[in-house]
Amino acid sequence: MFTLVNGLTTGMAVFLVAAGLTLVFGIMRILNFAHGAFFMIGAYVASSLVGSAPRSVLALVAAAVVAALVVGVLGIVVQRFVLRRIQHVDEHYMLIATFAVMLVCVGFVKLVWGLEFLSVDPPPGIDTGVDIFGLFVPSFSLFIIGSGIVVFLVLDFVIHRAWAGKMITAIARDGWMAELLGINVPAGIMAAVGGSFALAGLAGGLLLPNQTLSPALGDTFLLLAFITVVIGGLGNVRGAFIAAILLGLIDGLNTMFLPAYPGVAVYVGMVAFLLMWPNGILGESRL
Amino acid sequence: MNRTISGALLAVLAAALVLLPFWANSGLVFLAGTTMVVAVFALSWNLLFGYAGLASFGSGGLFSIGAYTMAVTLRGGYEGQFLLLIALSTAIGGAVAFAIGVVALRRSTGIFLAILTLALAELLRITLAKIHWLGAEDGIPSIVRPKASIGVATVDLAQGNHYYWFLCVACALLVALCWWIAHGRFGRTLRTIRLDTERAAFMGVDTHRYRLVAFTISGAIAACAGSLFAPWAQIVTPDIGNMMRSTQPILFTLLGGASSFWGPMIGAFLFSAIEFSTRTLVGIQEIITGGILLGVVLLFPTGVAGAWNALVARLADPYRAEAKAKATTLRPVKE
Amino acid sequence: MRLNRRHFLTTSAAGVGALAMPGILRAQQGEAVRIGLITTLSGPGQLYGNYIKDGCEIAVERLNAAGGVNGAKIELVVRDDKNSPEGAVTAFRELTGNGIKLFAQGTFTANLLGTLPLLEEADVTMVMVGASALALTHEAFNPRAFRLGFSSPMCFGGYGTLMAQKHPEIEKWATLRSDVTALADITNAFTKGLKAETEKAGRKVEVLDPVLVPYGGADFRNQISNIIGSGAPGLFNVLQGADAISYYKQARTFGLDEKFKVLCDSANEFAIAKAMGANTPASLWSWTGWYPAANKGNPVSDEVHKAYIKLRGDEYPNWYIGVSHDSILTIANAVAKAGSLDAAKLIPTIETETPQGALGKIQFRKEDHGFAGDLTYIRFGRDDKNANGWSVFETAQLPGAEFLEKATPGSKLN
Repeated sequence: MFTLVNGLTTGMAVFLVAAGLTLVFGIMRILNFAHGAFFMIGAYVASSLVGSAPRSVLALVAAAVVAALVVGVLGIVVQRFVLRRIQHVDEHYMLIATFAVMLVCVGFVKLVWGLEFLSVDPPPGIDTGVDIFGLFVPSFSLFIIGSGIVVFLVLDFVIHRAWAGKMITAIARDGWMAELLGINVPAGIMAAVGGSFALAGLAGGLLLPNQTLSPALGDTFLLLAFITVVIGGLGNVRGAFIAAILLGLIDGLNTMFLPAYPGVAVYVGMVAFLLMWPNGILGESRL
Repeated sequence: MNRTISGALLAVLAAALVLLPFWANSGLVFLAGTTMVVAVFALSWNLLFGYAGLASFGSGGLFSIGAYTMAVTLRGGYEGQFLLLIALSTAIGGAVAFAIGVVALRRSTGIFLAILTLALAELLRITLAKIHWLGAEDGIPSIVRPKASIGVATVDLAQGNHYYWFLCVACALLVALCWWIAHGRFGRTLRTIRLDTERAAFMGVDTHRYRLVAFTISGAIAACAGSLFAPWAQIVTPDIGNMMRSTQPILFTLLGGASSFWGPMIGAFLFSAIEFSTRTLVGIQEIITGGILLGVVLLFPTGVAGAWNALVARLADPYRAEAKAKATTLRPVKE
Repeated sequence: MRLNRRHFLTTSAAGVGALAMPGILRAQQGEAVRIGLITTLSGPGQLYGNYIKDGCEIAVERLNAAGGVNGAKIELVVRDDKNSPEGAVTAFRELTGNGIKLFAQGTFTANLLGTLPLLEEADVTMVMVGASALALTHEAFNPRAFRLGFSSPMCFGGYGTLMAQKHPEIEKWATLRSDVTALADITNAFTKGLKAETEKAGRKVEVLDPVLVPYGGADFRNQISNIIGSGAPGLFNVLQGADAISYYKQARTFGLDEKFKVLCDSANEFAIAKAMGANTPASLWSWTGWYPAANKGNPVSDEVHKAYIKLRGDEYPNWYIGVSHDSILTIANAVAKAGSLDAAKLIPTIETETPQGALGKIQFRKEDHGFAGDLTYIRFGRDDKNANGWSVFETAQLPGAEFLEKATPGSKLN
């Protein structure tokens, strides 16, 4: 039972990271290698704001929001000076560009924050556990699950219901037509990309008390987030949400039934999954 | 005109490589040997990408299969049949690629194929790191450089720079093979498929079969490169097929230019040159490598080879080149 | 060179006699003695590579300040192994191609296994900095290489023994490690030492099978709940670096401090406390290769400690600092005593010399060039009274020679 709750926690943590990744894909059709690095920068920025012991949940969330803003601005800079300039060349050049951006980000983090490990504790209020029907659940796990659900609901609302989402969807589907209809396409893309990157920063801030900060932090989540985005159907936020939960559960069952081979089931599951549903759970989506 | 300039340059560079041990530091020689192998590896990847339009993110796994096959057979005492061992490694790599291709190619292409191959390569790496018989994480060290015999002549590759020259010859042969595949009927058909799959199928080309064959050939050459690498480095570890290895050919190809046959090789040598010239700047390696990559991508979005071709074309015929440049900005494979 | 008493004292503390054989090296005076350092300075291992670089640079600075080697300055040539054997080989071949004969290399075993077969051809003498893998002095033994590091049976066998002595009341131990083979050796060594010592005292102890976690994972809660569910009052944790810290962090919610009577970390020492500050576990043992406070009365240790504080402003240097310092010291001392850079002369000199280093007397076992220094274990934890939120409670030392594995150079240890 605990495995299930924990699987959900892992899944939501991965979803927080994958949300921005899948959005960027939906808008710009690129698999962003630098996403993990931006997640890491978000975490470092937030940790510099709250120190090693945040005073309250609010302080942590506020730091995460600031981190989101900082990373969002960084994302806009990258979009403006790098991605936009090569948008009309072969899409694989985007890949190499984001790879290069990742390297620069990692090097930058090493220079600014050094190599020593940093750690941030869960703030009071979510640093203990709660008893749910006789099951001990860390309250920080609940915080992660809650954050994941909130982020998902907000995203889903913005994309499918709000005006901004419709505008972005229009741009992603047919930028030329959108322009004809009087939509400011460059501004729209910029806002959307900024928002996607900001999500990486937000995830970095929110997950801060979960793991240790080191310049390798980006790698920890990048592959899992990639897998989530692909299984969920590229660019599909609802698919990514379901995929992330599945991933968490598979990983949980892995530790329960195959404790001698930790972390293997995720790969095996994914290979099997891609062969069965090559287009992801809910199919590919252009947002 | 273009061909003459580029051809002459190629000949000069090849000669410089062959003569390298006579004038360069042994570290540089080792790096050059490594670069030759990964350049061929990148070439095999681009055979798949530039010609068949399939992007694999797991080519490191095939490289690793070749390297481990060679390491294990050499350790097993079969060093007398070195050339046969290379053929064996190549065949195993090809067989594995074929098996993956049969299952995967019909169902998934594009990014799905990329992620699928990536996951398979990671699984292989994790598995290798668990097998004690293969040295687990520390791999198989102290691999001997064997003797190679062709008919009557026998060369002891363990001596001095013999293995380096052997690499020169082997890589040249592999490059020639790739050239022949890419520019022959097979390569042309592949390109037709890549540019317009439906039309090719309509014309009666069995697109699936062609892609499968390309996938197999690419895998076989990657494994062959791996098998050449094992006695060169004299150690193989599971990390020989890690994600960095799989991204290597992608980086080299895009850096050098996917539209040119020589692009991946240019990228490989350029990358090594950057790494070697910045080796004393320890601690900021990531920023340097990332910054240079970014600069190249922004300045030459068609890769170095694309920029070179444009430059040569402009020198040769300024007016036509401009018109051509406008017309061909988006054509990945040039004639 | 003019001598006086004061000068003699400072140089002898450095362990290098510019005085030992002043005549022989006269020809080399003015020409620097170059030592190549190959370590990991990019990627995930860079943290440790940086420590090694710092320690080596401190050594070079101290030795040069004391007159260098027979009047010649020492020059350190640093290269990055790029986290791979072929990177290490490239660096090694480059430096040997430039005529360097003395090497210090360290961090990952595989990178050392890549360069060891090349020592003969290039006529090189090498000190393997901080290396712990058994292969290096057993199946991959090379007479030109010296391991200035602590083998797993030695430091973790000693660790198990110490725990059996300090906590005879604990009859059940849980173990936890990343899914990495090298860490399996550590777990086995600890278990062996623990069981042997307990049985010697006529008691019995149960050690549970290790709980495995993926290397570089993000979430350890499933494993935490498994381990706590086992009911064992003792825990030996072989996670490394960021993984270990994330583990303690996530386990705190589950009542790590209350559930376990004794918490043992393998070798992360102060990295944990420095990161976690006031939320460090209440009490945690760890092995360390060098802890200045445990080496009081050793002037070299004190000086290296001071130099490191000056360099990085950090009062708790990682153990690699001391070990890498002593690696350079070993080489420099041998060159001074042998008066030559030839491996044929240097190897017997290193085998017989016992220079005073930060770790104490640096001495290698002749048969397999293994190192048997003192084993240091520290217990630290949360302390609200201290400004940084934690402090060291106790240290224990054991003689390493008693735990050093059998010498079987050239073949695998059974």
